[in-house]
Amino acid sequence: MIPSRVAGFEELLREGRLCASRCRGCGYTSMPPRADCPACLSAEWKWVERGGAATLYSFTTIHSAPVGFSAPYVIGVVDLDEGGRLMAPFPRGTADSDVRVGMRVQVVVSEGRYELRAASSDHPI
Amino acid sequence: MDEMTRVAIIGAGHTRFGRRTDASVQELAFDALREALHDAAIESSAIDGVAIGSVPEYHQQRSLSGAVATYLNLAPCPVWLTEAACGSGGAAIRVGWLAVRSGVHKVVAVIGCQKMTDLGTAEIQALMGRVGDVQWESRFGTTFPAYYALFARRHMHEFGTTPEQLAAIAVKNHGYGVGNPLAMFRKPITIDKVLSSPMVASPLHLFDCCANADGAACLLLAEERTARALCPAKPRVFLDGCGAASASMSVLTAGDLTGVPSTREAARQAYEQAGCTPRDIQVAQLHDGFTITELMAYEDLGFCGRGEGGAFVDGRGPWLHGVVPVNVDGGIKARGHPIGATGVSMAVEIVRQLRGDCGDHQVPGASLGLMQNVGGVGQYVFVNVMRREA
Ligand SMILES: [Zn+2]
Repeated sequence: MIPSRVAGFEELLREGRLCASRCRGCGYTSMPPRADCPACLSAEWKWVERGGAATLYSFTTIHSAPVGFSAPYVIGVVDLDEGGRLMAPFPRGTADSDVRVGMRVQVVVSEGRYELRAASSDHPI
Repeated sequence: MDEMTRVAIIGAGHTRFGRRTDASVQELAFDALREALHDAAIESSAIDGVAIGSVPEYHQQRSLSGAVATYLNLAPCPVWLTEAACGSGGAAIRVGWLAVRSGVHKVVAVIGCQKMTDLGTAEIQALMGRVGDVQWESRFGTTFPAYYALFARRHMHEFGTTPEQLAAIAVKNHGYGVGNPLAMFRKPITIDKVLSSPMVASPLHLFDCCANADGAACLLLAEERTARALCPAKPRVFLDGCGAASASMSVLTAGDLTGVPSTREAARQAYEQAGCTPRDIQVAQLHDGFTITELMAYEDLGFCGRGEGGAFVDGRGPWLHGVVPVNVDGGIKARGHPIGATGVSMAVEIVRQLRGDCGDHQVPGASLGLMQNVGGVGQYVFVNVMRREA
């Protein structure tokens, strides 16, 4: 991760925790996390852990990859039940046809990374 | 319009787009400027400001605007570079419009220029992917087509838009590109050809996407009285609406991904300034970097309702004899996309339409035209309305 005020996100990931930021001034909560509150301008904030349950908002299978990546791979954009939105990959080997908009997914943290898995009880919204 | 000066477009120039290994970026810019000066029939000494639209990281030359202005021999005119990703040309027009409309400058050369084919596709994909948020998105191997694929997938989910409807936009634009000698691609394609082309980022196929290209385009903007004195003969075209807006560059904070809110806001400004509505627009150049981008623009500009872009295509609304002819020069799809030049290129085509110079693809009697130029996934949008003097 690039140096930033929320670089601690990576440290927490390595501990298995997925965290958003919460403003100590007004409670504004952000995922992805951010250090500077756009609502009240406060610089005081803390981490709040998220469960990772989410709904798939959109996705794409990338077949033409940038340098350093080998295609194909599926990337999803998910709306977290607890608020906020993340982008994350599905596991390698996931096919485009395995995935659909509106499916329930889980953001899974392991080995300092996060990725998406179909939730065990997936009911389309 | 209020009491501020009206901005006329007195000259337009446009190089052939494509793989231009025969010329450097400043040489291409010179070609576009030379043609615009001949078109306006003025000397370059009449120019008192230069706005250059380009994305500098594609070029080996640093301080690009200085290098271009030097080759154009325009010193001591002040020169500015505007960078707004694929909207850099639109941004240059905006800067030129501000400079003239404020009364500070009398004649501004707006030049969009770009060389892209010096870089390989993978390098370009990496560069374009980094248009997204490098902290939270690019780490997963996003590409520029992937961003618009996320929009397309969601649009399909919410409104039932189909791959065939998107493909029809590509077929339309490539069909019109056949007649454009300045276009990179001049072969017609079919729906089957689009749908059987390799997937780039599902649901977008290769032919849903545009191609990197080299090229330049130029507009000469002039304060109204200066324009009347310098160019007494030409049919006069005015830049009567110049809207600009921004939106989140990240799909994570953009909210809804079925449209581009900055297009709606820039269009609102441009329609208001020009005193017109979407129904008055007779010809349009829309940002078809991807087929879905053009489809969302129909909706965001008010050519059809939200979610009705697919039906608008089915009814051939954006074809030459449709409700609003869109990209009847081939658009970005057929012209190619030298990203800094594209916005200026769109304006050049509208000027030519309004002057009645477009031959086989002329929209009969067009006197009010619109262009929309998008940078990134909507972080920069420029919407211009141009009017031919009655
Ligand atoms: Zn706050």
